[in-house]
Amino acid sequence: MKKIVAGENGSPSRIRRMLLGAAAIAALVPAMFGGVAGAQAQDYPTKPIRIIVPFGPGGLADITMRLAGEKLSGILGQQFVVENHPGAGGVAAANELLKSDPDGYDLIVMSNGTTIATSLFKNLGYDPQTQFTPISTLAWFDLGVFSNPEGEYKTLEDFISKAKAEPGYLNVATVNPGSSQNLAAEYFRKVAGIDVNIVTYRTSPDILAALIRGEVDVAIESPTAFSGALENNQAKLLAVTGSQRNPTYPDVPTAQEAGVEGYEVVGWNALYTLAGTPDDIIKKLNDAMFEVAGMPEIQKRFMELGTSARALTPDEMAAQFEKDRARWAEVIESAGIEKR
Amino acid sequence: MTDLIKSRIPDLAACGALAAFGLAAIWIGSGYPIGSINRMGAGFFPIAASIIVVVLAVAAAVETLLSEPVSQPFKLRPVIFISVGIFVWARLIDSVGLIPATFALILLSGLAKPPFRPVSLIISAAVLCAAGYLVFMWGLQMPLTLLGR
Amino acid sequence: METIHNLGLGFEAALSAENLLFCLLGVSLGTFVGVLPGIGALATISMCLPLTFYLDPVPGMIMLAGIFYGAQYGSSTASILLNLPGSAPAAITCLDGYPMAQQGRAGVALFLTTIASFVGGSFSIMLMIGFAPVLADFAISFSSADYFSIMVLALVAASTLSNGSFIKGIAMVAAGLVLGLVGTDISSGVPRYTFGIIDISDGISLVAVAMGLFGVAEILNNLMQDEHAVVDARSITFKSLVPTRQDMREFWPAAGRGSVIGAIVGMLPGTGPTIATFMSYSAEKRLSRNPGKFGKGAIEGISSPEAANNSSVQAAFIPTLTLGIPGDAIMAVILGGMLIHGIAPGPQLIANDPVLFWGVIASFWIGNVFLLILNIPLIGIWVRLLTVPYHLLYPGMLFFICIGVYSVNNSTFDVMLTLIFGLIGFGMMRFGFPAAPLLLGFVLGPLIEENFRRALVLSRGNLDVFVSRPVSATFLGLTLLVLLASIPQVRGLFGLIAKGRKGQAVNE
Repeated sequence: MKKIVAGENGSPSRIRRMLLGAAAIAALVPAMFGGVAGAQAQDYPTKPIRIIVPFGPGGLADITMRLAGEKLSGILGQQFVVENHPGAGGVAAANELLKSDPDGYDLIVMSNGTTIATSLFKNLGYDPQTQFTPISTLAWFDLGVFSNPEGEYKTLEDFISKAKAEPGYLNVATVNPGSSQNLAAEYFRKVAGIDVNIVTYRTSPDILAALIRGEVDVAIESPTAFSGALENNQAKLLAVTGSQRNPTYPDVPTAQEAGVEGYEVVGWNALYTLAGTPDDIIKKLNDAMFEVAGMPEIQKRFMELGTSARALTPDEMAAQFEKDRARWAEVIESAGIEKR
Repeated sequence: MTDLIKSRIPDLAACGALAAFGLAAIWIGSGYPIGSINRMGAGFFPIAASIIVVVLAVAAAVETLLSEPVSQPFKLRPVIFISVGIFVWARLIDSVGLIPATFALILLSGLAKPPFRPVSLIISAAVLCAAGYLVFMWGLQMPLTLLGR
Repeated sequence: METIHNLGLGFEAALSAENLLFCLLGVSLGTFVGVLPGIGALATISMCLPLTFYLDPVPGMIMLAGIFYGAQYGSSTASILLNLPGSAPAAITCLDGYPMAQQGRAGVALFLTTIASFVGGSFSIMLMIGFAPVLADFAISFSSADYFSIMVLALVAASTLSNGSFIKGIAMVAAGLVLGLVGTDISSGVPRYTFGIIDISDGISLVAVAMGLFGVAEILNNLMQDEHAVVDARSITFKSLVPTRQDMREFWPAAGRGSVIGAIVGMLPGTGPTIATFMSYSAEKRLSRNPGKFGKGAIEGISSPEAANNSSVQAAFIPTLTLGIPGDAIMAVILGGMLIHGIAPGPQLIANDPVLFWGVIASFWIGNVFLLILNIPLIGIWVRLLTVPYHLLYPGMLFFICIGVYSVNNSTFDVMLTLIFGLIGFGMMRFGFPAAPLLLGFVLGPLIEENFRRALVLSRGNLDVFVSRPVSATFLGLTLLVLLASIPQVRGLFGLIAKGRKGQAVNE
C-alpha cells in the first residue's frame, strides 16, 4: 500500500491533486489485490498443475495419483501432471514443493508413511504439519495378515492361540524396519499381547518366497502387493487390518472381528499443498477430489488395485494425520526402534 | 632405515589412511549394539570387517616396505579442476539449470589439461546440453530445467 | 511335445507386427541407455511404465523386458572403449576389455561381447523353455542360509580378482564390506554410519561408487599423463574388428561357463547381474592355466562375464514369470506393469493363458536376435569414438557421468559422492589398491550379513543350519575347496596326482 505523504513544497492545488490522485489509487489498490485474488480463485486453474509424488513411478501412490490426475484435469480444465521425486523420508519431494509459491499450482502427495517419517527421522528437514496444508485423501488401503495356504493356520485365531502357547517361537515376516508394514506388525504384537519374532526382509517378493518355503508362520503385507499371490493360491489372507472388511475380499474378517480388540491400521495417500495457499483454491481442489473419489470408474479401478477411494475435508485430513502421527510415534517408542 | 621409509612415504600414507578408516569404523561401530555370534547386533559385522581392514592395512604397509618403491608423476591441477567442475555442476543443476551447470563443468574440467581451448570446449558444451536435453529431459521426462528454477 | 506346440503358438504371437515393433523399440532403447553411464534399465523402465498403460499388456511387457536385457548389451561398450562402465556389472568388463582396446583390439572386444551376450541370453531362454517350473521351484527353495553360503563362495572367489598385491585385494574387499554396511540395518533398523544424513540412510548409491571408482578415477589418472594414446582412424579396418581363430577357441568355453554361472545366480531372487559377472570372472581366472594374462586383455575375461551378465538377466525372468515372484527391483516394476493390466504372472497364468507366457518367452529370443543385428554394425561407429581427441572426450565423459548418476535418484548428493569416490579411487589406483574387489565387497557385504542373521533368527539361534541344509553345505564345501586350492602346496599336490594318473594311462 502506498503511503501518502504530502510534499512540503506543494501549493494547495497541487497538494489537492496529489491527494485526490493518491486517494484514487488507494481506493483501487484493495480492489486490485483483492480483485486479483478473487479472480485467481475464480479463474483457478489457468495453467497446468504439478503433483509431486515422493515415490518412483509404478507404485501404488503413483498409479492412484495418475488416475486421479486424469479426472481432475477433466473437472478443472487444466492438465494435472505427475512428477516423481523419490527419496528417503519424502525429503526430495518436500524440498521441491518448498521451492514453489503457495498459489495452488504445486501439490504434493503425503501418505501415512509421512506420519511415520516425522517420528522416525531425527532431522527430517521439513514439517508437513506446519509447512504444508491438507487438501484431501484419495486412496485408502489396509494391510493383511497372510499365511501359507497349506500351513496349519486357517484363521487368525489359530495363529494367535499358537503364539500364546509358544512364546518367542513363531516368526512374522515384514519388510524393512520402520516401514508401515513393520510398524503394523509391532503394533499387532503389542495389541494382541503375543510374543513373536518379527523377521524383516528387503522386499515383498522375498516375503512371499519365505511364506512359500514355510520358514515364517505369517506375514504382514498389503493385499495389493500380494494380489498375484492370492490369485495363484500361494498365500492365504487370514485377516485385514482395517476397521471394515476389504471390499475386494469380503469373506476375510478384520483383525478386530478375529478377536484382536482395538487393532486398526489403515494406510492412505493424500494431496497436500503449501501452507498459505488461499482458502478458496483449497476448497476448489477439495470439491474436485470429492467428485473424483465418488466417480464409479475410479471406485472400480481402485478396487481392482486393492484400495478404496475416499475423500476427506481438509480439517478431517489434518485430524487423521495427527492421529496417525501420534500413534506411530508411540509404537516406535515402545518397540524401541532407533531414529535415523 | 629412515631411507627405507622416506622413499615410500606416499604408499605408506595410503596404507595408513586405510588403517585410519578401519579404526574409525571400529570406534563408531562400537557404539551400536554388538550382541553375540548367534544373536548379532548391528555393530558385530561392521566391527569384524573393520578389524580385518586394519590388520590388512598394516600387512600392506609391511609389504610396501619389503618391495621396491615406485614413483609416479603427480599433477595437482587436474585434481583441482575436475573436483571443482563436478562440485559446481552438482550445485548448479538444481538451482540454475542444465545449461549453466554443463557449461561450467565442461569449461572447468577443460582447464584441467592445458592448453585451454575455449572454443572447442564451448561447442562441445553446447552439443552436450542438446544431447542431455534430448535424452534426459525429453526422452526420459526427468524433472530438470534448462535454465532457471 | 506340448512345450514345442506352445512354443510355436508363442512365436506366432511374438511375430505379430505390434509385438515386433515394441520389441525392437525396447531393445534399442535398452542398448542406448545401457551405453550411458549411470542411468540404467531400472530408471528407464520406470519412466516408460506409464506409457505401457495405454498399450495392450503383451507388447508393453515385451518392450519393458527388451529395455532390461537390451541394456546388458550396451553396458560393456563404454567399459571397453573408455574404461567407464555403463552399469555396475559392466565394471568387470573394464578389467580386460579396456586393455584390449588399448592394444588396438577394441573392435574385437565389442564383437565378442555382443556374441557372448547373445550366447548367455539364449542359454537362459532355453532353460526357461525346458525347465522353467522345476528351476523356479528350486530357486525359491533357497533360504537365507543357502544365500549366505553362495555369497561366501562369491566373496572368496573375489579374492583373486586383481592381479596386483593379494593383501591389498583382500583389504579392498573388506573395505567394501564396511562401506556397503553404511545405511539403515535391514535386520534391526539401527542406522549405521549415517551421521544423520538422510541421503545415505538407505545406503551409499552403488552407481555413485561404481562411476566414481571406475569413471572419475580413470579420468584423473589419465590426466596425470602428458600424452594420451591416440587411435588413428585409418587403423580401424575391417580386419581389426574380426577376432582370430585363437580368440574364438578361447571364447566358446568361456562364454559357456559364464552362461551357466549367470543362469544359476540369475534365477535366485535377490542376487543380481553384478554378482554373476564377478563370480564368472573369478571362476575363469581360477580355472585358467595362465591366470597372469587376466587384466591384460584376456578373451575369457570379457566373454565369460558378458555371457553371465545376459544369462543372469534373462534367468531372472524364470521365477518372475513362473511363480510371480520377481527377482529384483526391475522385475518388480515389470511385474507391477502386468498387474495393472490385471495379469498376474504365476502358475495360473501358464495354465490359463499359455499364449501370453510363451509369447513373451519367444519375444525374448527375438529381442536377442534384434540386438545381435543391431549391435554388430554399431561396433564400427563406437570404435570411432576413440578417435575423438581426449581433451574433448573426457569433459564429455564427466558430463554423462554426472547426469547419469544424478538421474538415478534425482540426487545431487549422489553426484558429490561420485566425486568423493573418484578421488578415493584415484588414490587407490596410484597405490595399487584394486577397485573391483571393493565393488564386490560393497555389494555382497550387506547381503551376507543380512542372510546370516536371518538364517539364525529362522533357525532360532542354531548355527547347524548352515551345514544341515544341503544347498548351503554344498556351497560351503565348494568354498573350502576353493580356499584349499589357493594354497600353492595343495595346488602342487593336485598337479602331481594329475601327472601320476596320466603316466599310468600312458603305461597301460
